[in-house]
Amino acid sequence: MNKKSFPSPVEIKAPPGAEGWEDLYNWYHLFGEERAEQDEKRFWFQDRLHHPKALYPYDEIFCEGWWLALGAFNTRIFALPPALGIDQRVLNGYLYISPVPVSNPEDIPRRAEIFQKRAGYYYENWDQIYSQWKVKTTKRFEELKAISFPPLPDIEDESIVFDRIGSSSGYRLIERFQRMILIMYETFQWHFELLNIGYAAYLTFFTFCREAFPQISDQSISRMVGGLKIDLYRPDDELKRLAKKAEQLGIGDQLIQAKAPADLFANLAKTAPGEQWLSDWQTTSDPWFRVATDPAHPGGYHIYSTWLEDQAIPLAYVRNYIQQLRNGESIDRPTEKILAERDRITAEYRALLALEDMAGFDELVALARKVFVYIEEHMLYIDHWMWSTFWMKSRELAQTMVKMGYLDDPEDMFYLRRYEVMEALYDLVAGWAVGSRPRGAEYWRPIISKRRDIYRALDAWEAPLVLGIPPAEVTEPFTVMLWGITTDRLQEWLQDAGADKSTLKGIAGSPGVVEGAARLIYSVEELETVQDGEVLVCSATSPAWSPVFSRISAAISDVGGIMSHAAIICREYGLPAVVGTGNAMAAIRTGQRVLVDGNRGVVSILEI
Amino acid sequence: MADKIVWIAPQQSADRPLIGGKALNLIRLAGSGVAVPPGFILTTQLFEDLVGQDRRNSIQDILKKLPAFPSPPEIEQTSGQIKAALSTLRLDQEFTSIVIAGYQALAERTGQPIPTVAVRSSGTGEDDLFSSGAGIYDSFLGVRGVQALIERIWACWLSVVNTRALLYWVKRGSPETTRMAVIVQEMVPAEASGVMMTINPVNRDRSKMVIEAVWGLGEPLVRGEVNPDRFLIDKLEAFVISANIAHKPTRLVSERSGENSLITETTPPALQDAACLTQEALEQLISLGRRLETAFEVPLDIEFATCKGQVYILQARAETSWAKGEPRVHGLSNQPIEQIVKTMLEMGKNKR
Repeated sequence: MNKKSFPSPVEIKAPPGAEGWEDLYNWYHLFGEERAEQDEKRFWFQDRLHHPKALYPYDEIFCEGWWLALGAFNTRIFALPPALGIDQRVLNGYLYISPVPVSNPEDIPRRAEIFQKRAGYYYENWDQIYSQWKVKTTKRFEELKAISFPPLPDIEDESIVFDRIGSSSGYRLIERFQRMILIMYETFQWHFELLNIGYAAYLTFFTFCREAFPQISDQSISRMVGGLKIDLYRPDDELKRLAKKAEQLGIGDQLIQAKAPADLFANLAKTAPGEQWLSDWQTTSDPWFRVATDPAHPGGYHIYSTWLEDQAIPLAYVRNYIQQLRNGESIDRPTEKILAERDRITAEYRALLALEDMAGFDELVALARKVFVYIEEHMLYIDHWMWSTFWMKSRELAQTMVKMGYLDDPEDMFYLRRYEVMEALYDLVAGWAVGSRPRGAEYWRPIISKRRDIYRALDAWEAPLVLGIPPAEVTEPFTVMLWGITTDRLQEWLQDAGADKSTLKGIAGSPGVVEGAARLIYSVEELETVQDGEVLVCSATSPAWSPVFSRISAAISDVGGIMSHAAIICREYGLPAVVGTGNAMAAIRTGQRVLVDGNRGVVSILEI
Repeated sequence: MADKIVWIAPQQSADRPLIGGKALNLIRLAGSGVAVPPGFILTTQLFEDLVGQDRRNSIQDILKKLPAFPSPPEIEQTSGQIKAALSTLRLDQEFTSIVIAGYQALAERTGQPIPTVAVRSSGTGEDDLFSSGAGIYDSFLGVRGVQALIERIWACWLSVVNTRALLYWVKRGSPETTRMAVIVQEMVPAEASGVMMTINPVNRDRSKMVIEAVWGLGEPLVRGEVNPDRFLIDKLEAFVISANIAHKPTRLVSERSGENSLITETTPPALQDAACLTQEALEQLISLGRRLETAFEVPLDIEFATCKGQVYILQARAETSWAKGEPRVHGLSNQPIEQIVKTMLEMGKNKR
C-alpha cells in the first residue's frame, strides 16, 4: 500500500472571515476532539456530487437524512457483508464522507448469511416491492404537497370552534413543521430501502463482466443494462411532446417570440389552440416540472428553484426543441436503437461464455436490469419531487416568518439550523398566542448577520477533495458506483501533485472521442449560453440539464462515477463523457479546445 | 490451362488438393468482399505434370532410403539430392510461358508495367485451419521482372523438399511429400502493415481484438524483429481500449525498381513515434475483423496492409491460441443472490 496520505482533517484551519463557523452546523456532525484519534486514521472525500457549495445551516437536513438511512440499510438491516455505512463530517461548511469497513473480519460470514436471506427476499419480490414503494412514496408526496404555512391569524377562524378542532393554528404550525421534517427522514429511509441492494446487484454484474471479459469498458457493461424508457426521462420527454404539439397547433411562432412566461400565457389564452396548449402545459407541469435545477445532484440546496416555479426554464427548452424540429432534426431519444444495441451486445457477450455460465449470466443481467429502473427512477421521486417540494414549503414558511415580522428576509431562515427554526417557531407561536411579542427578531438578527458573513467566506473557500489516509481497498458499493471513488482513483490523486496539467484523468463514462470548444457551466440558468457542438464542462449534472445534451458534443464532469447522471445520459445520447475528473472546472477555461476520450476516461487540453 | 493457373478472385472454384490451403483462404477472403491484392496461383497440377511420373518415382526412391529417425545431415543430403533431380525443370517452355502470361495479365490488372510481387508456397497439408505450419517453406518478397519471378517460383516450389520441410513432415509422422502450389500476388506499396487477432491471445478473451502494426511491410513484425504499435480493441462495440505506440526507428519498404527491391530504411523522424494506423484504418480493420470472423466461424489471425486509405487483407487463418481450448468456466451461480454474496465477500478481502 502507498504510504502517502492526504492532509489530515485536524490540520485544516477555518478560512479567513469564517472563524466560529462551527455554530452553523449541528455539533454531532463536526470533527471533534472526542473522536479525533479515530477520524484522523480514516480517509474523507468531499461530497461534491451532492454538495459542491458550502452547506446552508438549514439545508444540513439533506445530508443527515441519508447519513442515517444509507447507514442503517447497509449496516443494520441488510447487513452488507464487507461494508457498513458512510460516515459524514462537516468541515468548513463542506460535507466530507468516509465509507466504514467491517473492522472484524469474523463478522463478515455472519453478515453474509443475514444478507443472503434478507436481500434475497427483496430481489425475489423486487417488482412487487417496488410497485408498493411507489404507492407509499406517492402518498407521502401528496401529504407533503398539502402542508402549508399561512401566517397565523389575528382571530382564529370560527371553524376551530364549530368543528370542535380543539387546538390553535399556532400549535398546528409547529406540528406541520415537525411532520414535514419527519416525512423527509422517512422517505429518505425508503430511498435507501431499495438503492443499497440495487447497487449491490448492479456491482455484481459489473464485477462478473470484468472477470469474464478483462478490460471490458464500464460503459459496455452499463449499456447491457440501461436504455429503458423510464420515468426519470419523462420531464424531458414531456417538453418534447409539448414542442411537437405547439407546432401541430400552429402556435410555435408565438412560443419562439415570447419573452416572459406571464405575457406568453396571457396571449395564448386568447385563442382556442393557445388555450388548448396552455391547459396541457398546466396539467403537465405538476408533477413533471417538479424538477430541481441544482447544478449538481438534485435536492441538496434550498436555493435552486424548480421548473414549476421558474417556467422560463422549461419554456426555453421547448423553444429550443421547436427550432430543432424546424431545422429538420429529430428530437426523440433513440430508445429503440439503444435497446436494439443493448440486446445485440448482451447476446454477443453471452455467446462468448462457457455453456455452464450462460444461465447464471441471464439471471444476473435480468436482475441488473430490474434494479437499474429503480436506481434511475428513485432520483425523480425522492431527490426531485420530495426534496424540491420540501424546499418550496420551507421557503413558504420563511415568507410567513417575514410576514409576521419575525425575520427581516426570507433567506434569513436558512442561516438557522433546523432545530433553531423549531425553537424560533415555539418563540413565534408563544408571542402570537399570548398577544405579546416574541424575543425572535432582535435575538436572531446579529446571529444571522454574522452567519451570512461566515457563509460567504466558507463558500469562497476551495475545499480539498480528499483528506486523511487512503484505505487499502474501497469496498463500499455507493462509493465505487456513485462517487466513482475507487482504489485506483485514490492512488492517482495521491500521485497527481506536479503532474501534467494538460491531461485530466477521470472515469470513462460514455464511449467515443470528440474534440471541441469547452463551455464551463455553473448553473442551469447558464445552459442557454451553450453553443451547438461545444463540450460541456461542469461539476455534475442533474435531469434538469437533460435538454442541453441534444446540443453538446461531449461532457466532462468533476464528480461522478459511471452511474452518475452525466454518464448515463451521455450513453443515452451517444456522446462521449469523462466523469469524475476531480478538477476539470479548475483546469479548463471556456473556449479552450479539449479532446474528450470517453473510451479511456482522459481529457486533453489542446491549447493552454 | 484452368487446372494449371487459378486467379485470386471471388467465385473462383478450386479445391484444396489443387491450390493448397493458403491459396484457398485467399480465394475465400476475396469471396467475402474484402480487398485482397490481385494475384494468381500456380496449381499443384502444373507442377505434377511438369515433374512427370518417372521423376516422381526416382524421388520416392530417394525418400525411401531415408531412415525412420533420420539425423539432420541425412535429411539435408536427401533434400539436396531431390533438388538436383528437379533443377532443370524451371526452363520448361510450357511452365515459363504460363508464368509469363500470368505476370502480364497481373501487370494489366494492377496498372503497373512491372508489378512487384510476393511469391509464397501454398501446401495442401499446410494451413489447415488448426495447424498453421507457418514458416517451413521459403517465400520471397519484392520480386520484380519475369526472370526473377521464374527463379523465385522455382525456389519456392522446391522448398517443399528443403531441410526444414522434410524435418517438419518427418516429425509429424507424415513422410510423404506434400503437394504444393505457388502463389504470385501483387505486393501493395504498404504504408503500414500488421497482424490482427480477433481474440485477445493473452487471455483468450473473445470480446477483444489485438492489432499490431508497423510502418511499411509487415515481415519484420511477423518475424518478431521489431516493436509494433499495439492496439487493444473492444470487438463488440468497435472501439480502441488502449493504444501503445512503439518507437519505430526503421521500416521495411519495397522500391519500385531493381530486381530485389526490399530495403530497410530509417523511418522519417516525424513518423518514428507516431501511430502507424489512422482512426479510419482502425475502424476499417475492426469491421473487417468482425466480418471475417463471422464468415470463418473461428477467431482469426489476419495479416493486412494499408495503402492510400484502403486496408488490404493478405492472409487469414485460425488463431492458434484459441484452438487450445473452450471458454473458461467461471462457475456463475444460477441464483443471483449467491453470486452477489460471493462478490461482496471478495470485495471485503482487500484483493485487487
